[in-house]
Amino acid sequence: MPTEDEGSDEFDWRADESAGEVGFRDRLEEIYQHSIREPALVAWSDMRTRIGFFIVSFYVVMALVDVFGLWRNASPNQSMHRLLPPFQSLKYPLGTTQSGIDLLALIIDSTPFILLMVFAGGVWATTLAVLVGTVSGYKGGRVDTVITTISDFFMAIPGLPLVIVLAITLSPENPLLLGVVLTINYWAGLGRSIRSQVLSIRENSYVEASRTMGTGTLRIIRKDILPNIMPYVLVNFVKAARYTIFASVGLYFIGVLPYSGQNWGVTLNNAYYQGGLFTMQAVHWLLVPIAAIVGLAFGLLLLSQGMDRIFNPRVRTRFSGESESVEEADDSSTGGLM
Amino acid sequence: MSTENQSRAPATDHSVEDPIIEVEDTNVTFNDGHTYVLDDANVSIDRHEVLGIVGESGSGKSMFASALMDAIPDPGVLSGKIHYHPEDGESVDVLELSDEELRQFRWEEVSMVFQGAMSSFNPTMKVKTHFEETLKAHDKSVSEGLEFARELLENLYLEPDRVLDAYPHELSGGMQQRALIALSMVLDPEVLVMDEPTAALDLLMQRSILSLLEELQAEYDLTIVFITHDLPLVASLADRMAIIYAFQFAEIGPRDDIIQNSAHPYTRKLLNATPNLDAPLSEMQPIEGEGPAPVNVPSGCRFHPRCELATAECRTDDPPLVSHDDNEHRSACHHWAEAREEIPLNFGEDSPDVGGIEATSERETSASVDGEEPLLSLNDVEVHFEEEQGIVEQFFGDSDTVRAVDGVSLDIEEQDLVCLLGESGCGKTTLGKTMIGLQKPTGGSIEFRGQDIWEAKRGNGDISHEEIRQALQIIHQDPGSALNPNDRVVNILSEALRHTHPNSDRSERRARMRSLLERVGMSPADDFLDRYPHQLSGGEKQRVALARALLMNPEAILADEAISAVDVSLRIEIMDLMLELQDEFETSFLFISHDLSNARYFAEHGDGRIAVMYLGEIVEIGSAERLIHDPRHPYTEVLRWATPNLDLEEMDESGPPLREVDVPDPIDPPSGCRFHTRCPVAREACREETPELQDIDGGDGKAACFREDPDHAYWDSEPLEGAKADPDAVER
Amino acid sequence: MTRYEPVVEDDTLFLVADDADDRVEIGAVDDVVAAMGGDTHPIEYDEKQRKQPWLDTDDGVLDVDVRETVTTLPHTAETVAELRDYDMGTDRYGLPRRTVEFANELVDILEQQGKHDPETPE
Repeated sequence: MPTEDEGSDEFDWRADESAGEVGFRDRLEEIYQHSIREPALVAWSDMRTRIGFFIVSFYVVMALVDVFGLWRNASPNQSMHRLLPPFQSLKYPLGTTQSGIDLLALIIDSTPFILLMVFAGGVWATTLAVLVGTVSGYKGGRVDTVITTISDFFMAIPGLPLVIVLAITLSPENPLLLGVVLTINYWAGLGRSIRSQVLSIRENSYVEASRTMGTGTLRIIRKDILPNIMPYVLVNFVKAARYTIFASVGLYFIGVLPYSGQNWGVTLNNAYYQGGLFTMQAVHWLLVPIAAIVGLAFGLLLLSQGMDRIFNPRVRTRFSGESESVEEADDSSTGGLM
Repeated sequence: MSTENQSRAPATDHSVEDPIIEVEDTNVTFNDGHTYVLDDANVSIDRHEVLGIVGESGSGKSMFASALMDAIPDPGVLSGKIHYHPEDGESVDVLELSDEELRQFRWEEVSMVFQGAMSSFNPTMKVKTHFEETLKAHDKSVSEGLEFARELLENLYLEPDRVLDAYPHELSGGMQQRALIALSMVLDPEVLVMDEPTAALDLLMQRSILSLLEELQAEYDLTIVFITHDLPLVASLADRMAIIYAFQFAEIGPRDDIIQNSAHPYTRKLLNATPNLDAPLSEMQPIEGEGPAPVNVPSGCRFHPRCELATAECRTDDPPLVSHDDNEHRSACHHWAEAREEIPLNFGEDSPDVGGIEATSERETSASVDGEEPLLSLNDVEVHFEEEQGIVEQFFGDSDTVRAVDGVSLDIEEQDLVCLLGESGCGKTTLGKTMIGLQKPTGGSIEFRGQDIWEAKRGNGDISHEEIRQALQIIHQDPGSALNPNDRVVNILSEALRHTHPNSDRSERRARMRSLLERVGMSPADDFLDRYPHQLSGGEKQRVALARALLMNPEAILADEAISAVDVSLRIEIMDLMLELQDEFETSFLFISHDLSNARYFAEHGDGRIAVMYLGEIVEIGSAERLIHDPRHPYTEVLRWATPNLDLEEMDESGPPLREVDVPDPIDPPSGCRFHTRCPVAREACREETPELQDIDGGDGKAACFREDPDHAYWDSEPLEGAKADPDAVER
Repeated sequence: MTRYEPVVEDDTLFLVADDADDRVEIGAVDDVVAAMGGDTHPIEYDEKQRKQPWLDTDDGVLDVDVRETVTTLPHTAETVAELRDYDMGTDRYGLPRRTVEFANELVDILEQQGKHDPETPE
């Protein structure tokens, strides 16, 4: 490797202005501008992001309310009214269950657990899928064959029965572990579709240019490939997260997962077995946890849809008010991959 | 704006004696008449002439083509008069025809082959059915029509039975395009409108189709309107030429007048900007700036912002399209006389740099004699691609192998310049990538300063793999995909500096990038550094790619058709830049091109060699001057023939010096000399024996043809079917 | 030129050489149709293309009958050789691999025609 001095000799038309005036502060400032402020502004400019952000924040606030104990914990017979309909009393805004539990307290109680689980499920599934998909798609050859075979194996195992078996053997009570168990083989399918996207991105000349410069595999994946599949990954993070919610609720509902205290799925289960489906008086008992589930899923979806704008360089430049290019025609940019 | 024009412009074009189509005051507008994409066209088309219409992309030339058939796509509005005068019968105004009359008029009287036509087939029908449907739709006899179709296909160098029985997807692009020409002629129209019909094809195929068209035109008394961006291409075919600039006709006249005595600065500049084989290299000049968009047309003469002769008059008054010499040559310029004086044409005179031949040949010999170790040395390199196959075929060894590169030996010296020239599919890109170590050869070896590249990659070599990797860089063909769309220019360029100057700090890196960007003509550099690739034009992207390659301090750069995606008027500028930087950076350049005139520009300016490739082999190598003035391999001659040329005397040459227009399948290349299936002078010996690349008498370089050896058995063997008996007939 | 004609036996598609006793199983016709995305495949032609005399469409859209195309369009020996390289395993796509590759080949053939929009970023 040439040292600095050797190198600079060859640049005899080197810039005339003296280097080194860009200070540490400026650098921080620039990082802040390009990596934080701009993306945030771009994302925020989209209505979907804003609504999604509010919805998700609402759940986070609920979780905080529980963590700091700002609302009463759920316990039987805390209300004298059984099956109180919602919006009837300020004390029990969402009504009560048959055993007189405050439904709002029930929902709030389980929020931290659910959020952790959803987060763990989403992170586990997408991280593994991205890792597997990019490496196998980019490296090709034997690495690809090995990874593909392994993920074929996982794809061949029927998902739900596997999760049920694991859930029964492990009885996961930790939300993080539970999230992982629920999405245990979710990565295989997602990894496969990421792989096929990577296969086509790999053909771009700029990837070859990076390779020609001697850039390492991991760096090429990180710099040239990942940004192009990020919108897809984000959308799938949300899909995986929603899958986690639905799967957990489903499994709680059929009673496979251990009942550790209360939770939306458990609530549904109780409501169902205690007649929520059949009497109008108990219908809110079913509807409230369903609303909680759907709301979170919806919020995540909106957030992800809005977020993909961050990874679109066109939107970014338009937003930061820079000049737009004259050439709209020859634009076969990566957005089209999806 | 246009009403004003009409009042001043002369009403019609009376320069033609027996017009078949007269276009009068014709406009095409969008946006309720606010945007003109064809402005006040007044042109007549002579019976049985070939009218070549030249314009840049987005200049309105396609609108003119569509207008001739009253087929302007919605929501465009066509107004004016288009008179059609059949040889026998009533004249009609095309715009007044009823729907049914128009349906008959199209294809029976005027038919068209357009750019997107290649994807207008019905994929589930055989080509024959396309002919039948066409004949039926126009109530013609199918059997007679098919007879005629066979004749047309034969005239287009196609096997009628095979093509008629094929489905569209089974034909190559060149075959599809020729089948379309036959389809457009099967109803025996009077006028054939060709709108960039060959733009997607190889240069050689384009030229072949054009020369076939010329024969068809003579045989069937056609009138052809040929519309293209490629001036020299159509110049070989046209009787008259018209130049469109910014939705208006700028100039129209007999071809020879347009080429030798054009009176519009745009035409003259366009001629000078065209790389061709005749112009002295020093005088090729790009045209600054770009053509305007329809919403943004300059006032007065539309060319004035790009014209150095422009005066106040040009900025306010639109010059009328009139004749200045009292003949049929009309041009729209206030300063036509000055234009002729001030903008000399750079071709037609004899090339003054004949001295270059000796210089290069000397250099050639010195390079091979002085025994210095070459920078890159290819030794019998083979790259064979196996088609993906299953276990059964592997077991029986019955596999399809594409021999992309087959036995190439070549030395690249330090600061050398080599152009690889050939048709698409001849293996030039594969060979190029093999040279810079991106493609692993399946046979032979490739050495960097004596060190086998692939040995070094395995870690046993005197020169480290990183060093080799860094020394060999690439500039890709398509600037659109050469830069990561998610990275700003600053990050794209930093990546290179990360390798070459790992210890430099941010501000130093930025200073380097800034100065280099300014060097490649992108200033203010700071502005460009913060842009994303989509904010750059094609030429700017290619400059960034060049800068990125140079920041690696490479010993050799592979430029893979690096200018073919750049606008014609900018090509020379980019080529010059590359050549200058080669000097400053002391690197070698490997250029890949399918265009002999571009290769010539590089090779001659950079004092380098051109290597002609055919089906995976190098068939001839030598200096540009020698290859152009004294080609030894018949294939080089073919490429020479296919190259745009503005020399009027050489223009009216006969058909392609080929027996077959289509390239054979590289999976199963012909035996012996691979060119023998197409070669006009092939003999029995060529089919049986493979010629070696060897030194030639009386010139620099090498050629692989038996005709170089006066004692070879070739001279005693029988000519192959269709080949010329007397080989001297094709010798220059 | 040897062509392989499609032959359907018990709802299973085979490609059979027209001059030899060579045949390749492709898979269930229904599977091919499903892998191609349904019973019709629209090809949209742009305004210039739709004026070609052999294209008889009202709105410029040719609705290709997929089932008919699958069972009538012959294929070249090269295509068949490529298809033969894929087995009939279903673990990759849930449908037999060769069936899917055949469907891809057909879709490619159909998509060569019609208007090609400049890729629109999603």
